[in-house]
Amino acid sequence: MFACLYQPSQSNTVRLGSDNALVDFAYEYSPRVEVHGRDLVVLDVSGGKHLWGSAHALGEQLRRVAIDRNLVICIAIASTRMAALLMTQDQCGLTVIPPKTEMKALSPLPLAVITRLWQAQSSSANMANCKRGQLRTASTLAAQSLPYVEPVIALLPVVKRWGITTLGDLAALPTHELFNRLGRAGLALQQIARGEDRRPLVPALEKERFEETMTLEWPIEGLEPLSFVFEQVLGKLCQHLDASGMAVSMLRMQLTMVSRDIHERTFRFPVALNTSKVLRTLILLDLETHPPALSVDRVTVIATPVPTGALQLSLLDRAVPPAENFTTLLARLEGLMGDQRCGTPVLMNTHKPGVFEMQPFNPKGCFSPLNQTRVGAGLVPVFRRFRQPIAIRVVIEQGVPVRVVIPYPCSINGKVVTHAGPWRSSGHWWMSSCAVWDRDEWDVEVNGCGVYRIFLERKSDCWFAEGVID
Amino acid sequence: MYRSVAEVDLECQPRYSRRTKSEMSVNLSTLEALLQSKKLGNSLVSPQTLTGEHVVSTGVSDLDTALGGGVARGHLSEIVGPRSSGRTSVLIAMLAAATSRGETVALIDAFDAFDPVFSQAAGIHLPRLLWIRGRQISSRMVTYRIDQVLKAAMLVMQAGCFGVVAVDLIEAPISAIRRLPFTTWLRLSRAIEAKETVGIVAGPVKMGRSASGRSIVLETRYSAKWSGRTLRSRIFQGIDIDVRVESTRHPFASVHLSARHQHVGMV
Repeated sequence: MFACLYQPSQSNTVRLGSDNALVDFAYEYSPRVEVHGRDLVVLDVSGGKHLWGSAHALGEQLRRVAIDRNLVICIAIASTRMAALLMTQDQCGLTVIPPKTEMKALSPLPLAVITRLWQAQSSSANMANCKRGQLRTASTLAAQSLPYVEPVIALLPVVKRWGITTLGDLAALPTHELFNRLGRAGLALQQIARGEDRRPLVPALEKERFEETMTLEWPIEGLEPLSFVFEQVLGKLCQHLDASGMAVSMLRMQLTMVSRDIHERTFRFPVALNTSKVLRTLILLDLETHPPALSVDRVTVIATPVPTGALQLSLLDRAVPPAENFTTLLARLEGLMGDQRCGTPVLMNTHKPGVFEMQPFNPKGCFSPLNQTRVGAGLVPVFRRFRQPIAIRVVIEQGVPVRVVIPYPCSINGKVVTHAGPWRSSGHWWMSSCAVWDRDEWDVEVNGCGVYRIFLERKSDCWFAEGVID
Repeated sequence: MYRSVAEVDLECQPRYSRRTKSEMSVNLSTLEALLQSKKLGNSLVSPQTLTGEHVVSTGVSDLDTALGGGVARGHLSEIVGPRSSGRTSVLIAMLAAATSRGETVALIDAFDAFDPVFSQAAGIHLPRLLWIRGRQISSRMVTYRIDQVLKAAMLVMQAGCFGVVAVDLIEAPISAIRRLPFTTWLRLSRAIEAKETVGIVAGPVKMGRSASGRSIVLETRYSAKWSGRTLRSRIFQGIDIDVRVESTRHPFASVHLSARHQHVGMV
């Protein structure tokens, strides 16, 4: 038994309630709901006789509750979905079609109800913001194949030209003759007119939540006992992910402490993972550096799923190490060296010396060969930068540096043999004072000690060593 | 009862001369299989290693010639020299060559002296570089920093995901390096054994290398080259480098290299 609920469009009646009120209303009566749009749903109410009594009693209850909620809806109950759907397009209020009388009940309806049903489905099909997430909408006129609907609808003018005006007339046509003239689309049209279902009900699926929680009888502290808890929690989570063909791109971990405060950490992985062992290692590595302040009595992990990627390998490329290895390695290195100490440098679009940005190392795409050859390109002198410029003493004669004293770690006190400069460089004067630079740069060769780049900070009139050529 | 090796040799000696080449090759294969099963396979020196089939280019053709083809995969090599002798230039050239081959490289920069701008100009494809940054050297905590960096190097080498793993200890004080136990380098060598990774350690003094690794010793102090006849037009051009290559399985070789800027003046 199926119940169809149809909320006529806003142009005809005043819409009250939220956009998803009809879908929510339907879910209160059955978990098997086929959503055809925001305004049109079909419920499977089979087996509800003991709950609601007869089909008519159910219909009355639906109507009464809908009125209480200010929902203006048409209700039709029939043993086939198509009969219920078509009936809602013609009759307002409640209509109950007894079993095996669908054809008889539909026969007086005009052919236009098919067009109306198609329009109702098309107009309300885009319901992206359903409360229950990404519900799967279905088209009943054709078995989930939109291209097939067009020929069925396109046949209606042809049938009208034959003098057929009602569904009953169409249903009464000889099937064999109809197939000879209109093909399979003609048969599909006749099945619709007879109120027959071409496929079973496809219930809308709720968006899956990948979340696992474990409440502990006693609060625990320390990483070792927590690791056992994570093993169980993440094991379940990964089983769930694996069964759905998903992997984790982002993981949120919430540790509820005895003070009811929540210690929350978020992990973003460069590659999607679905191995509980690796996830547990990553969480534990993070907790080593960011432990909870108090004992923990509840552990929750929430995963943001992504489809598991298919990897196309080639015999001609280098072997690619598993993504888990990279992720674990990066987490270990972060734990050892500190935050923002591991990654890939990205150059900034500025002339300011020594400016770059650290980005997380992304192993994706690192293993394909570049179309460039550098072998034999020769040596290029490279600069070793003092990340914090070292304050130095410089002796100036006739406007040029003649002696340089650089303290630890260089520990140099030498005569300048050759120099080049100065080159004035400035910028960011339009920004805040800390970002401004204005300096005169020199390259100096200190006797027996190397080639250094030094600069005079013009604002403070202080000399600094920026780095050494090596 | 075990018999001594001498007894076994004496028994084998008369028969040895009558053995054919095929028998010898079978015996050699058996011996190699035995060593492999005892996880001593890396002690074997195959003809491939000697002919350079497992070596990779450094990106500098003259240096490759001196090295006998390049630096060996699965082995730890070292770059040694005083300040401004071109150690970093050679190191960056190796990383650039590796990235241009399509490999991912790791640089463990003990004292945060790596300059991305110059390195990109030298040919490193930065997205393929994992840069692990230490802290700028200070008089305190040097030993702690070096230990930290060596732990990071061990992790990276054990992962085996990289074509080249370079450990930059160039700014480390010689005294701090000499305090490190020799087993440090042995552990690093073992970490990359039988892997496709080239291990490079750069420092001010010789530290340690694998059996098939090379020591690239930058012998003399820098020799800076300047251009421009007048004071105003003078710019830094580059440095000349004298390199000596040391290896246990190759004769010593020397080569003279010139590091020159691709552009006019410094970048």
